[in-house]
Amino acid sequence: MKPLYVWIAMLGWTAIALWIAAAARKKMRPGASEFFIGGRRLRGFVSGMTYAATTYSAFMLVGLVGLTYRLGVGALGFEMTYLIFTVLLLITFGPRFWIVGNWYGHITPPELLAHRYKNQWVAVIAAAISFFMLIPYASAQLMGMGFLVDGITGGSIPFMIGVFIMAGLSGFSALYAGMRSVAWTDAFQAVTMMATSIIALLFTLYHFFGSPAMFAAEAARKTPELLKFTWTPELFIGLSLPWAFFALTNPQVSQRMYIPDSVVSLRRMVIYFSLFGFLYTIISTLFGLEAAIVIPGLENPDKAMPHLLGKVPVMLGVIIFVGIFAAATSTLGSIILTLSSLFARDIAKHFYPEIPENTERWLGRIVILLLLGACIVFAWFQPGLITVISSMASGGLLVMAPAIIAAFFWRRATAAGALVSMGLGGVITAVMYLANIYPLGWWPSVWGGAITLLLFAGVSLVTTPPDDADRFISSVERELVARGFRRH
Amino acid sequence: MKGIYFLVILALVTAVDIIVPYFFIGGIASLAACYLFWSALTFAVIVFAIIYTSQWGRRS
Repeated sequence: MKPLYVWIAMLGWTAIALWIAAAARKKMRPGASEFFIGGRRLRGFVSGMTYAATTYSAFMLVGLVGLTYRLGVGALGFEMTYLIFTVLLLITFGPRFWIVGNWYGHITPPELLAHRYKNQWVAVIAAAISFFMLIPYASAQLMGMGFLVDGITGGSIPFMIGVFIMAGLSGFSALYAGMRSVAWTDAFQAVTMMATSIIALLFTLYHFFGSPAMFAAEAARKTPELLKFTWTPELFIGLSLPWAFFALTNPQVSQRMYIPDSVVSLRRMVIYFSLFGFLYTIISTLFGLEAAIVIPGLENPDKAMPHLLGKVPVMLGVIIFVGIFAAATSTLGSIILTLSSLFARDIAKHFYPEIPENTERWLGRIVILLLLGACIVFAWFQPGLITVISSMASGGLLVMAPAIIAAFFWRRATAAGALVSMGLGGVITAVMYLANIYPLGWWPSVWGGAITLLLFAGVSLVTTPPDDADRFISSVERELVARGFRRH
Repeated sequence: MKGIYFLVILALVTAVDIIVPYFFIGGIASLAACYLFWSALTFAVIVFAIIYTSQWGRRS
């Protein structure tokens, strides 16, 4: 594809996104809550779309396409397992996060933990783990974009130019009006992602194969191994486990449980996101199977989508490119905004409790710039497969799952249990990933998850829970009934 | 959703999600096997969520 087309697509789309961000700023009110979570005033559609655009990233149309291209239908299984867990987690924990967030004015998920466990260090450790794990994950979005522009222009637009452009747009959106502009542009990005990918999928199915039915027949004939489930349990569980709890452990998505303006909006967020995720997963994996037939033998599976784009008419290639650009940009913007809120609320405020809200917002903006710089440096090194990097990040964040789940369900859970399990579990998981240690063939996420769970339960049982743990859990359960989330 | 219901549903769905592909249909080279199975299972969970959440906001 000619670089000119790519430039026009990126700049044209960026101009629209900036216009939306500017419109969002007009609605912004003062305060940290307004900047970091849109003042809890977002409607169902925008909430659902920002949840979807934050969750589904360049990983889908680059990483998941590549994973399907290389390892077949197991990629769909792994991604659908994630979605099943997320839907169930959202209908169980969404109302709880939303109620507690409204009650106590929480802005970040670690604030909820600090409140429940009556220990601010729980929030500090949770925020630190999020930083450590999410910078590589955010960098994977930049890498996805870099690979894409480099691949579809045959290197005319280098990897790092793609990285810089995307970092610039994401940064601007987050800096300009915080969550409101990120959410609005996310909604636009999500609609773009879905519309462009449906158009592209239908075109490629008919263009390359004649019809969807003929594609199915050709896939069974030419790539039968990809349609069989050949993954080892170690691979399937190792990849799926950390993603299964993504909705709770990744603050950039769990923070979105605070943003809907009503119970109805919360419900719509869950439903819109679920349907979006279902369709987008099917589309992405079908692209992977198509690519395996049309362009077999690629050494780097992450380049399957860019190569597929090279085989379609220019206009369609541009359309798909815009969809991937949207996916990557929205995820990156959401992550850096959430991490900036974690720094301002959970780390800086811990050491300087008297920080005014206006200073919190400025602190958040400075952190956004620093984070973008860190992500650019990380992307520059281009480490490993995007899929593995993304999974590593979720694997590390998995250590927060026991403390988050127990906050609402286990009265004996203690701050010491949360601190030890997250701290020690996080270190063990990170070391295993970095040193490439896979005992008995099982992934670090599995070992890290198991060790964390044991540490959390063991330490909690020998320490004293907060005085009001019982009251906290009981009052949340009563409020669930009072608010109509359940009958009794 | 109550914690115990969540656990039971999650355990059941996870068991089906893993057992069926590994033991029954994993070796079939067709989109109508694992691909359709995982898609149908996920869609069923989404439909369950839509029905379950339809009560949200209706005070008892």
